[in-house]
Amino acid sequence: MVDERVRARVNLFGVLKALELLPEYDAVSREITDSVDLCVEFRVPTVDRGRLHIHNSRIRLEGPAGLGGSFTLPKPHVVLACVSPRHFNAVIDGEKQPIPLKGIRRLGRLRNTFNPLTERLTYYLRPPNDAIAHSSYHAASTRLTACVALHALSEIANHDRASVELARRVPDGTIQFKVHSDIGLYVEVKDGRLRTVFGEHEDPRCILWFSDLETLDGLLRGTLQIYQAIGSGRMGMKGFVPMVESMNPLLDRIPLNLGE
Amino acid sequence: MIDNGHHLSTGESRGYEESRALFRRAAQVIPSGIPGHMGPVQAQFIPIDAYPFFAERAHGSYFWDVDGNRFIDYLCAFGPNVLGYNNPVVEEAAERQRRLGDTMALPSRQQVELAELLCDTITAAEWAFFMKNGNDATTLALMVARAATGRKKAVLVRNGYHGVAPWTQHSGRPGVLEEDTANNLYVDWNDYEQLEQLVRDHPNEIAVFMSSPYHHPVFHDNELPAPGYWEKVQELCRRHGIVLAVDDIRAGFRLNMAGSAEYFGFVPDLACYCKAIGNGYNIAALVGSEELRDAASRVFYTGSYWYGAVPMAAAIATINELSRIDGPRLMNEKGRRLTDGLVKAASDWGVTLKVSGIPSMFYLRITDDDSLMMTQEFTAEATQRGAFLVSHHNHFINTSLTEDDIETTVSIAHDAFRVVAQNNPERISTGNGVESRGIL
Repeated sequence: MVDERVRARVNLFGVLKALELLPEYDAVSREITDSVDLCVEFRVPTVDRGRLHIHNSRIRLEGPAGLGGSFTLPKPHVVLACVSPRHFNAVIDGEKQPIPLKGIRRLGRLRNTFNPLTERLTYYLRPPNDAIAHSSYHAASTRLTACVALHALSEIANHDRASVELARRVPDGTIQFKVHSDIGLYVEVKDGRLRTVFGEHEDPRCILWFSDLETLDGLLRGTLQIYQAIGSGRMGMKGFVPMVESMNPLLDRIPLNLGE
Repeated sequence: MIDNGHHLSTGESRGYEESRALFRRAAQVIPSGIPGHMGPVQAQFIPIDAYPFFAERAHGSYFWDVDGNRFIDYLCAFGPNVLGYNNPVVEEAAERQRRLGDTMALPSRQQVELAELLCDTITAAEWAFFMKNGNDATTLALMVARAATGRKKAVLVRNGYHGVAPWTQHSGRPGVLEEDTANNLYVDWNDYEQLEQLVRDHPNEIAVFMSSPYHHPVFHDNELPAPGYWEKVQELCRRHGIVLAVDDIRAGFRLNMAGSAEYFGFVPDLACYCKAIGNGYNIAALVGSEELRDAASRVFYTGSYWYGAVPMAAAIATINELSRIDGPRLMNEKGRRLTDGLVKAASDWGVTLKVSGIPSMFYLRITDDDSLMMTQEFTAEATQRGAFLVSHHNHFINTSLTEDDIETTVSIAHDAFRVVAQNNPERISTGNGVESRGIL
């Protein structure tokens, strides 16, 4: 059974996080966000607040930091609330509308920016059959999917009841996920809490690497024979491998907490 | 077949083409290609291209891969090779029995003689029960403890290893249910107070405390028991009617012929044996106290090949030979000389190598980083030069290891540490590495 609260966190801090990468890989998204300055805050009861800032083809998403719940992003132009995690998940699925609490005059601008952006994200995360053949599409799709999956991983590990116990077994340290000369994401682990970060950590405790995006894509979509891939050198790991081993059951829980 | 009889000089790398070709075939017909602890993933072959995947043959302290590369083997088949591969005494005994019969309609004379030998050899043994693998022995130990006490729970040491049956694993792993481990309780190694608290918290619920005689987890330094630990544990178990089971599958006969418990000064109610008792022939044993004989009789536990007489004949020969040559002392002396050489070789390049555990089952870790990446570089470089080493697991010494093998290995290690030092200038100390080790 899916915990709507966990799924809402995955949507808020996992799926929407991938919007940050979108202008980099997608010309249409760059065009949509060009000359835009718009900050929107989502409020989801029992989950959290998330603030999304679109500024001149750059997108940033963050949650509140620390006990005071402060943001580094500017104050929101628009605040959108949901009555429940389920409501927010339905908003992300395009089935319901959020409740605007602030910035009603900017809703038109938001609709013209945010909605087409999420459509572009959906286009990459749910590959249409005719798009698979294009290599540039394929690469962007893999990068964005990896971003969603690894950010979802931290949310699930920190908030899913069944996963919290599994997360406690993950040794402290940083595990780096990388594709040769391409994307880098790492997950910091401290006392059973996980945090996903873009980039390359200077001193990871463990590295899980992929020879190419195709291999990573196979892993993310569940089509890769992992042991064969390691045996044949298409992917590998080094360092304190118990980090990967203890993270495996958490990785298995990602599809359960992502929508269609 | 090309017999690369000598280790390769610096910079050369071994060809594993045939290993890789066989792996591609294996992947078509065997899940993961090589499942289990010998698979390249679980065996931590890092980087993967430094290691062979398949062996062609073995003799003494060596094995040859399917590409003809020879390795000085410090995994010893993960323990079973204790007298050297193809030891003539063991092979002759096995061959003699093979001509008479192996798996037959009835148990053989060998079964009785092997049980008598184990009872004569191991302090804690007043009976012996035979099976095939270590996991069979630990599972029977759990069943016997439950049958004897009428209790459900087992206390295990965190990060300890007792096999692969679902009860020995963690829930969340594929195929392992929460219910499989629902009766397990865990304590940290060497933490008597934690164990005592657990016993207080679960009165009349704990059937067994199962532990290896010293802590030899993977990926971590091995740890010997603190002074007085086992005496207190034994007394606690006796006082609360908890069966004390020692898992001597890995260390058995590599520390003391009378059992590792004898070495550490305690007497368990049950002791599990496997790896070293048959020198590669497939046999395991659970031995136990008089008090548990009846419970062991009542448990129904068996297997099609558990009565095979050839492995029993091999085990008799192995144990007698180990006793004759004082195998544990020999292996620990060889292990000591080897690890002293390795520590010195590391130190020569400013690398700090920590040796832990017992010398006959040494675990190696470079302490200059906590990720094991430098250790993995070292073991890969050493393996490519002909000394088969891994980064996650303790190693094993066998009695056939020669002084030449030790010298060659230290020379290989010297070359390997040079590469590690060159690759990690920011991590290594400028002074000499500091030796650190376990007992003996």
